[in-house]
Amino acid sequence: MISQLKLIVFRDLLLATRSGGSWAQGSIFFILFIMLAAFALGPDQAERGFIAPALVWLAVTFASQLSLGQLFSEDLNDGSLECWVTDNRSLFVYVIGKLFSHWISNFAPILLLSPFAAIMLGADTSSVPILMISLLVGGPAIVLIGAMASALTANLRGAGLLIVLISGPLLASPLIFGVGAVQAGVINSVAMKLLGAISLFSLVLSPVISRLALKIHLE
Amino acid sequence: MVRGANGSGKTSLLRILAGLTSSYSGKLQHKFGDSKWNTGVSSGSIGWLGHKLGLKQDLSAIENLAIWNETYKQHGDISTALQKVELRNTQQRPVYTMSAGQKQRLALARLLLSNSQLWIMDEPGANLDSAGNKLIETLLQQHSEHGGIAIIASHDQINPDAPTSYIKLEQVATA
Repeated sequence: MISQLKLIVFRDLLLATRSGGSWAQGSIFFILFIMLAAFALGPDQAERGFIAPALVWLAVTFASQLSLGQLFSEDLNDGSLECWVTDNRSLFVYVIGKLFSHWISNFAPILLLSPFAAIMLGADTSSVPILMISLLVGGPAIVLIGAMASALTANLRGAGLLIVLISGPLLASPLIFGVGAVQAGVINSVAMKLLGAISLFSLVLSPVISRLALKIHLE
Repeated sequence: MVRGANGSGKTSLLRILAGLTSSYSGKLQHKFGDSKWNTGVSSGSIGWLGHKLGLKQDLSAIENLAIWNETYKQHGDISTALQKVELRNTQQRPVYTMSAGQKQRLALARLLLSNSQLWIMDEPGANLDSAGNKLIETLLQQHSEHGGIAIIASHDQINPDAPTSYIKLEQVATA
Protein backbone atom coordinates (compact mmCIF):
# COMPACT_ATOMS: atom_id res chain seq x y z
CA MET A 1 0.00 0.00 0.00
CA ILE A 2 2.79 2.44 0.94
CA SER A 3 4.71 1.60 -2.24
CA GLN A 4 1.59 2.27 -4.35
CA LEU A 5 1.10 5.56 -2.52
CA LYS A 6 4.72 6.57 -3.10
CA LEU A 7 4.43 5.62 -6.76
CA ILE A 8 1.38 7.87 -7.32
CA VAL A 9 3.09 10.77 -5.52
CA PHE A 10 6.34 10.29 -7.45
CA ARG A 11 4.52 10.05 -10.79
CA ASP A 12 2.45 13.18 -10.13
CA LEU A 13 5.47 15.20 -9.00
CA LEU A 14 7.34 14.09 -12.13
CA LEU A 15 4.35 15.13 -14.25
CA ALA A 16 4.21 18.48 -12.42
CA THR A 17 7.81 19.18 -13.47
CA ARG A 18 6.85 18.48 -17.11
CA SER A 19 3.57 20.38 -17.10
CA GLY A 20 5.06 23.74 -18.11
CA GLY A 21 4.46 25.28 -14.68
CA SER A 22 0.75 24.53 -14.30
CA TRP A 23 1.47 23.60 -10.67
CA ALA A 24 2.34 27.28 -10.08
CA GLN A 25 -1.04 28.61 -11.27
CA GLY A 26 -2.35 28.86 -7.72
CA SER A 27 0.79 30.54 -6.41
CA ILE A 28 0.78 33.13 -9.21
CA PHE A 29 -2.90 33.88 -8.63
CA PHE A 30 -2.14 34.20 -4.90
CA ILE A 31 0.66 36.72 -5.48
CA LEU A 32 -1.46 38.78 -7.90
CA PHE A 33 -4.43 38.77 -5.52
CA ILE A 34 -2.28 39.99 -2.61
CA MET A 35 -0.57 42.67 -4.74
CA LEU A 36 -3.87 44.05 -6.03
CA ALA A 37 -5.40 43.87 -2.54
CA ALA A 38 -2.46 45.91 -1.20
CA PHE A 39 -3.09 48.58 -3.84
CA ALA A 40 -6.84 48.56 -3.22
CA LEU A 41 -6.46 48.97 0.56
CA GLY A 42 -4.35 52.09 0.27
CA PRO A 43 -1.75 53.38 2.75
CA ASP A 44 -3.80 53.28 5.98
CA GLN A 45 -1.61 50.87 7.98
CA ALA A 46 -4.05 50.34 10.86
CA GLU A 47 -6.93 49.35 8.60
CA ARG A 48 -4.74 47.08 6.45
CA GLY A 49 -3.29 45.29 9.44
CA PHE A 50 -6.74 44.47 10.75
CA ILE A 51 -8.05 42.80 7.60
CA ALA A 52 -4.75 41.32 6.31
CA PRO A 53 -5.27 37.83 7.84
CA ALA A 54 -8.77 37.65 6.34
CA LEU A 55 -7.44 38.61 2.91
CA VAL A 56 -4.63 36.05 3.11
CA TRP A 57 -7.10 33.33 4.08
CA LEU A 58 -9.40 34.36 1.21
CA ALA A 59 -6.51 34.37 -1.27
CA VAL A 60 -5.30 30.93 -0.09
CA THR A 61 -8.83 29.54 -0.39
CA PHE A 62 -9.36 30.78 -3.96
CA ALA A 63 -5.80 30.03 -5.14
CA SER A 64 -5.94 26.45 -3.89
CA GLN A 65 -9.08 25.74 -5.96
CA LEU A 66 -7.56 26.85 -9.27
CA SER A 67 -5.59 23.76 -10.20
CA LEU A 68 -8.09 21.22 -8.89
CA GLY A 69 -9.85 20.90 -12.27
CA GLN A 70 -7.28 18.40 -13.54
CA LEU A 71 -6.68 16.55 -10.29
CA PHE A 72 -8.56 13.41 -11.36
CA SER A 73 -9.79 14.19 -14.88
CA GLU A 74 -6.45 13.61 -16.61
CA ASP A 75 -6.08 10.06 -15.32
CA LEU A 76 -9.73 9.39 -16.12
CA ASN A 77 -9.49 10.71 -19.67
CA ASP A 78 -6.17 9.12 -20.68
CA GLY A 79 -7.11 5.66 -19.38
CA SER A 80 -4.55 5.53 -16.57
CA LEU A 81 -7.30 5.04 -14.01
CA GLU A 82 -8.80 2.11 -15.98
CA CYS A 83 -5.40 0.40 -16.10
CA TRP A 84 -4.86 1.04 -12.38
CA VAL A 85 -8.22 -0.51 -11.46
CA THR A 86 -8.01 -3.51 -13.80
CA ASP A 87 -4.64 -4.36 -12.27
CA ASN A 88 -6.58 -4.71 -9.02
CA ARG A 89 -4.97 -1.68 -7.40
CA SER A 90 -6.82 0.20 -4.68
CA LEU A 91 -8.81 3.22 -5.82
CA PHE A 92 -8.72 4.49 -2.25
CA VAL A 93 -4.90 4.44 -2.17
CA TYR A 94 -4.92 6.20 -5.54
CA VAL A 95 -7.12 9.01 -4.16
CA ILE A 96 -4.95 9.45 -1.05
CA GLY A 97 -1.81 9.57 -3.24
CA LYS A 98 -3.36 12.20 -5.52
CA LEU A 99 -4.38 14.34 -2.54
CA PHE A 100 -0.91 14.11 -1.03
CA SER A 101 0.88 14.99 -4.27
CA HIS A 102 -1.51 17.91 -4.87
CA TRP A 103 -0.76 19.17 -1.37
CA ILE A 104 2.98 19.09 -2.04
CA SER A 105 3.00 20.51 -5.57
CA ASN A 106 0.19 23.07 -5.36
CA PHE A 107 -0.73 23.94 -1.79
CA ALA A 108 2.69 23.94 -0.11
CA PRO A 109 4.08 26.77 -2.32
CA ILE A 110 1.04 28.92 -1.48
CA LEU A 111 1.53 28.14 2.19
CA LEU A 112 5.19 29.21 2.00
CA LEU A 113 4.21 32.51 0.37
CA SER A 114 1.57 33.30 3.01
CA PRO A 115 3.78 34.94 5.69
CA PHE A 116 5.29 37.29 3.10
CA ALA A 117 1.80 38.10 1.84
CA ALA A 118 0.59 38.90 5.34
CA ILE A 119 3.54 41.24 5.98
CA MET A 120 3.07 42.85 2.57
CA LEU A 121 -0.54 43.61 3.48
CA GLY A 122 0.64 45.23 6.73
CA ALA A 123 -0.30 42.50 9.20
CA ASP A 124 1.22 42.70 12.67
CA THR A 125 4.31 40.44 12.60
CA SER A 126 3.21 38.85 15.88
CA SER A 127 0.09 37.51 14.13
CA VAL A 128 2.06 35.79 11.35
CA PRO A 129 2.93 32.59 13.30
CA ILE A 130 -0.70 32.07 14.32
CA LEU A 131 -1.79 32.73 10.72
CA MET A 132 0.61 30.03 9.53
CA ILE A 133 -0.64 27.59 12.17
CA SER A 134 -4.25 28.29 11.18
CA LEU A 135 -3.39 27.63 7.51
CA LEU A 136 -1.61 24.40 8.42
CA VAL A 137 -4.60 23.26 10.48
CA GLY A 138 -7.28 24.44 8.05
CA GLY A 139 -5.40 23.85 4.80
CA PRO A 140 -6.33 20.17 4.59
CA ALA A 141 -10.03 21.09 4.74
CA ILE A 142 -9.64 23.52 1.82
CA VAL A 143 -7.80 20.99 -0.36
CA LEU A 144 -10.00 18.04 0.60
CA ILE A 145 -13.28 19.86 -0.05
CA GLY A 146 -11.98 21.06 -3.42
CA ALA A 147 -10.73 17.56 -4.29
CA MET A 148 -14.15 16.12 -3.55
CA ALA A 149 -15.73 18.60 -5.99
CA SER A 150 -12.99 17.77 -8.51
CA ALA A 151 -13.76 14.04 -8.28
CA LEU A 152 -17.51 14.65 -8.68
CA THR A 153 -16.92 16.64 -11.89
CA ALA A 154 -13.96 14.63 -13.25
CA ASN A 155 -15.83 13.44 -16.34
CA LEU A 156 -16.99 16.93 -17.36
CA ARG A 157 -15.18 19.26 -19.73
CA GLY A 158 -14.32 22.71 -18.35
CA ALA A 159 -15.48 21.84 -14.86
CA GLY A 160 -13.43 24.60 -13.19
CA LEU A 161 -16.40 26.86 -12.51
CA LEU A 162 -18.54 23.94 -11.35
CA ILE A 163 -15.84 22.94 -8.85
CA VAL A 164 -15.91 26.44 -7.36
CA LEU A 165 -19.73 26.40 -7.25
CA ILE A 166 -19.78 23.05 -5.44
CA SER A 167 -16.91 23.72 -3.06
CA GLY A 168 -17.65 27.43 -2.49
CA PRO A 169 -20.44 27.04 0.09
CA LEU A 170 -18.53 24.27 1.88
CA LEU A 171 -15.41 26.42 2.09
CA ALA A 172 -17.23 29.08 4.10
CA SER A 173 -16.76 27.19 7.38
CA PRO A 174 -12.95 26.78 7.25
CA LEU A 175 -12.68 30.39 6.07
CA ILE A 176 -14.76 31.73 8.97
CA PHE A 177 -12.97 29.68 11.63
CA GLY A 178 -9.56 30.25 10.03
CA VAL A 179 -9.90 34.03 10.23
CA GLY A 180 -11.46 33.67 13.68
CA ALA A 181 -8.45 31.63 14.86
CA VAL A 182 -6.04 34.36 13.74
CA GLN A 183 -8.12 37.09 15.38
CA ALA A 184 -8.27 35.09 18.62
CA GLY A 185 -4.47 35.27 18.64
CA VAL A 186 -3.90 32.08 20.66
CA ILE A 187 -3.19 28.57 19.47
CA ASN A 188 -5.82 26.82 21.58
CA SER A 189 -8.77 29.02 20.71
CA VAL A 190 -12.21 27.53 20.03
CA ALA A 191 -11.99 28.67 16.41
CA MET A 192 -8.69 26.80 15.94
CA LYS A 193 -10.16 23.63 17.46
CA LEU A 194 -13.22 23.84 15.22
CA LEU A 195 -10.93 24.43 12.23
CA GLY A 196 -9.04 21.26 13.11
CA ALA A 197 -12.33 19.38 13.49
CA ILE A 198 -13.43 20.47 9.99
CA SER A 199 -10.10 19.28 8.56
CA LEU A 200 -10.43 15.90 10.29
CA PHE A 201 -14.04 15.55 9.12
CA SER A 202 -12.97 16.38 5.54
CA LEU A 203 -10.11 13.89 5.82
CA VAL A 204 -12.61 11.13 6.54
CA LEU A 205 -15.30 12.19 4.09
CA SER A 206 -13.41 13.47 1.04
CA PRO A 207 -11.45 10.30 0.08
CA VAL A 208 -14.57 8.15 0.48
CA ILE A 209 -16.73 10.42 -1.69
CA SER A 210 -13.92 10.94 -4.23
CA ARG A 211 -13.41 7.18 -4.55
CA LEU A 212 -17.14 6.59 -5.05
CA ALA A 213 -17.37 9.38 -7.64
CA LEU A 214 -14.41 8.01 -9.62
CA LYS A 215 -15.85 4.50 -9.52
CA ILE A 216 -19.10 5.82 -11.00
CA HIS A 217 -17.18 7.73 -13.70
CA LEU A 218 -15.36 4.53 -14.66
CA GLU A 219 -18.64 2.70 -15.35
CA MET B 1 -12.27 -13.13 -30.32
CA VAL B 2 -15.39 -11.01 -30.03
CA ARG B 3 -16.73 -9.69 -33.30
CA GLY B 4 -19.75 -7.69 -34.26
CA ALA B 5 -20.95 -4.55 -35.97
CA ASN B 6 -20.45 -1.10 -34.51
CA GLY B 7 -22.71 -0.64 -31.53
CA SER B 8 -23.32 -4.36 -31.02
CA GLY B 9 -21.85 -4.19 -27.50
CA LYS B 10 -18.27 -5.46 -27.88
CA THR B 11 -16.77 -2.74 -25.68
CA SER B 12 -19.55 -3.07 -23.11
CA LEU B 13 -18.95 -6.82 -22.88
CA LEU B 14 -15.20 -6.38 -22.40
CA ARG B 15 -15.69 -3.70 -19.74
CA ILE B 16 -18.03 -6.02 -17.84
CA LEU B 17 -15.48 -8.85 -18.05
CA ALA B 18 -12.70 -6.54 -16.86
CA GLY B 19 -14.79 -5.52 -13.85
CA LEU B 20 -14.94 -1.89 -14.96
CA THR B 21 -18.71 -2.02 -15.31
CA SER B 22 -20.23 -3.66 -12.28
CA SER B 23 -23.89 -2.81 -12.72
CA TYR B 24 -24.67 -6.20 -14.26
CA SER B 25 -25.68 -9.32 -12.38
CA GLY B 26 -23.94 -12.62 -12.90
CA LYS B 27 -20.62 -14.19 -12.23
CA LEU B 28 -17.73 -15.15 -14.43
CA GLN B 29 -14.89 -17.31 -13.30
CA HIS B 30 -11.73 -18.42 -14.95
CA LYS B 31 -9.06 -20.47 -13.31
CA PHE B 32 -5.35 -19.78 -13.58
CA GLY B 33 -3.71 -22.10 -11.08
CA ASP B 34 -5.48 -21.39 -7.83
CA SER B 35 -6.68 -17.92 -8.66
CA LYS B 36 -10.05 -17.02 -10.02
CA TRP B 37 -11.77 -13.78 -10.63
CA ASN B 38 -15.37 -12.63 -10.56
CA THR B 39 -16.54 -9.67 -12.50
CA GLY B 40 -17.64 -6.76 -10.40
CA VAL B 41 -16.29 -8.38 -7.24
CA SER B 42 -12.59 -8.95 -7.64
CA SER B 43 -11.27 -8.73 -11.14
CA GLY B 44 -7.79 -9.99 -10.28
CA SER B 45 -4.84 -8.75 -12.27
CA ILE B 46 -5.97 -8.15 -15.84
CA GLY B 47 -3.91 -6.79 -18.69
CA TRP B 48 -6.33 -4.17 -20.00
CA LEU B 49 -5.94 -2.38 -23.33
CA GLY B 50 -8.92 -0.16 -24.03
CA HIS B 51 -9.59 2.76 -26.35
CA LYS B 52 -7.77 4.98 -23.83
CA LEU B 53 -4.19 3.79 -23.68
CA GLY B 54 -3.14 4.77 -20.14
CA LEU B 55 -0.13 6.79 -21.30
CA LYS B 56 1.08 10.14 -19.99
CA GLN B 57 1.64 12.51 -22.90
CA ASP B 58 4.31 14.61 -21.15
CA LEU B 59 6.50 11.65 -20.23
CA SER B 60 8.79 9.74 -22.56
CA ALA B 61 8.03 6.19 -23.69
CA ILE B 62 10.57 4.73 -21.29
CA GLU B 63 9.32 6.83 -18.35
CA ASN B 64 5.74 5.69 -18.98
CA LEU B 65 6.83 2.07 -19.00
CA ALA B 66 9.04 2.51 -15.91
CA ILE B 67 6.08 3.84 -13.93
CA TRP B 68 3.78 1.02 -15.08
CA ASN B 69 6.53 -1.51 -14.40
CA GLU B 70 6.67 -0.29 -10.80
CA THR B 71 2.88 -0.39 -10.60
CA TYR B 72 2.71 -3.97 -11.84
CA LYS B 73 5.56 -4.99 -9.51
CA GLN B 74 6.67 -7.58 -12.05
CA HIS B 75 10.07 -5.95 -12.67
CA GLY B 76 9.83 -6.81 -16.34
CA ASP B 77 12.50 -5.86 -18.81
CA ILE B 78 11.49 -2.52 -20.32
CA SER B 79 14.11 -2.70 -23.09
CA THR B 80 12.85 -6.11 -24.20
CA ALA B 81 9.25 -4.88 -24.18
CA LEU B 82 10.21 -1.85 -26.30
CA GLN B 83 12.17 -4.09 -28.65
CA LYS B 84 9.22 -6.42 -29.08
CA VAL B 85 6.96 -3.56 -30.18
CA GLU B 86 9.77 -2.05 -32.29
CA LEU B 87 10.01 1.23 -30.40
CA ARG B 88 13.63 1.08 -29.19
CA ASN B 89 14.61 4.08 -31.34
CA THR B 90 11.88 6.31 -29.95
CA GLN B 91 12.12 5.39 -26.28
CA GLN B 92 13.29 8.85 -25.13
CA ARG B 93 10.66 10.79 -27.07
CA PRO B 94 7.73 12.32 -25.18
CA VAL B 95 4.52 10.47 -25.97
CA TYR B 96 2.84 13.61 -27.35
CA THR B 97 5.34 13.62 -30.23
CA MET B 98 4.50 10.06 -31.26
CA SER B 99 2.07 8.99 -33.97
CA ALA B 100 -1.19 7.25 -33.05
CA GLY B 101 0.27 3.92 -34.19
CA GLN B 102 3.39 4.36 -32.06
CA LYS B 103 1.24 5.15 -29.03
CA GLN B 104 -0.73 1.97 -29.67
CA ARG B 105 2.53 -0.01 -29.82
CA LEU B 106 3.67 1.62 -26.56
CA ALA B 107 0.40 0.56 -24.93
CA LEU B 108 1.13 -2.99 -26.12
CA ALA B 109 4.55 -2.77 -24.41
CA ARG B 110 2.75 -1.74 -21.22
CA LEU B 111 0.57 -4.83 -21.57
CA LEU B 112 3.67 -7.03 -21.94
CA LEU B 113 5.09 -5.63 -18.68
CA SER B 114 1.86 -6.39 -16.81
CA ASN B 115 2.71 -10.10 -17.05
CA SER B 116 -1.00 -10.86 -16.60
CA GLN B 117 -2.17 -14.17 -17.91
CA LEU B 118 -5.44 -12.69 -19.01
CA TRP B 119 -5.39 -9.89 -21.54
CA ILE B 120 -8.56 -8.02 -22.44
CA MET B 121 -8.06 -5.92 -25.55
CA ASP B 122 -10.56 -3.59 -27.17
CA GLU B 123 -9.71 -2.99 -30.84
CA PRO B 124 -5.94 -3.45 -30.33
CA GLY B 125 -5.36 -3.00 -34.06
CA ALA B 126 -6.77 0.53 -34.06
CA ASN B 127 -4.31 2.97 -35.69
CA LEU B 128 -1.91 0.16 -36.60
CA ASP B 129 -0.73 -0.68 -40.10
CA SER B 130 -0.56 -4.23 -41.43
CA ALA B 131 2.88 -4.72 -39.81
CA GLY B 132 1.37 -3.61 -36.50
CA ASN B 133 -1.48 -6.10 -36.83
CA LYS B 134 1.06 -8.82 -37.59
CA LEU B 135 2.95 -7.77 -34.45
CA ILE B 136 -0.20 -8.24 -32.35
CA GLU B 137 -0.69 -11.72 -33.84
CA THR B 138 2.92 -12.60 -32.92
CA LEU B 139 2.49 -11.26 -29.36
CA LEU B 140 -0.74 -13.23 -28.98
CA GLN B 141 1.01 -16.36 -30.19
CA GLN B 142 3.80 -15.89 -27.61
CA HIS B 143 1.26 -15.11 -24.89
CA SER B 144 -0.62 -18.30 -25.73
CA GLU B 145 2.59 -20.35 -25.64
CA HIS B 146 3.21 -19.07 -22.10
CA GLY B 147 -0.23 -20.27 -21.00
CA GLY B 148 -2.00 -16.95 -21.26
CA ILE B 149 -5.32 -16.17 -22.91
CA ALA B 150 -6.75 -13.02 -24.44
CA ILE B 151 -10.26 -11.76 -25.00
CA ILE B 152 -10.20 -9.42 -27.96
CA ALA B 153 -12.82 -7.24 -29.59
CA SER B 154 -11.75 -6.71 -33.15
CA HIS B 155 -12.92 -6.45 -36.70
CA ASP B 156 -11.18 -8.59 -39.27
CA GLN B 157 -7.66 -7.10 -39.05
CA ILE B 158 -6.32 -9.58 -36.51
CA ASN B 159 -6.32 -13.32 -37.17
CA PRO B 160 -4.10 -14.99 -34.59
CA ASP B 161 -2.44 -18.34 -35.20
CA ALA B 162 -3.09 -19.33 -31.58
CA PRO B 163 -6.20 -21.49 -30.91
CA THR B 164 -9.11 -19.07 -31.13
CA SER B 165 -12.82 -19.15 -30.36
CA TYR B 166 -15.02 -16.62 -32.10
CA ILE B 167 -18.10 -14.94 -30.66
CA LYS B 168 -20.24 -12.77 -32.90
CA LEU B 169 -22.47 -10.21 -31.25
CA GLU B 170 -25.69 -9.30 -33.04
CA GLN B 171 -27.58 -6.08 -32.58
CA VAL B 172 -31.01 -6.66 -31.11
CA ALA B 173 -33.70 -4.40 -32.49
CA THR B 174 -35.57 -2.62 -29.73
CA ALA B 175 -39.00 -1.08 -30.05
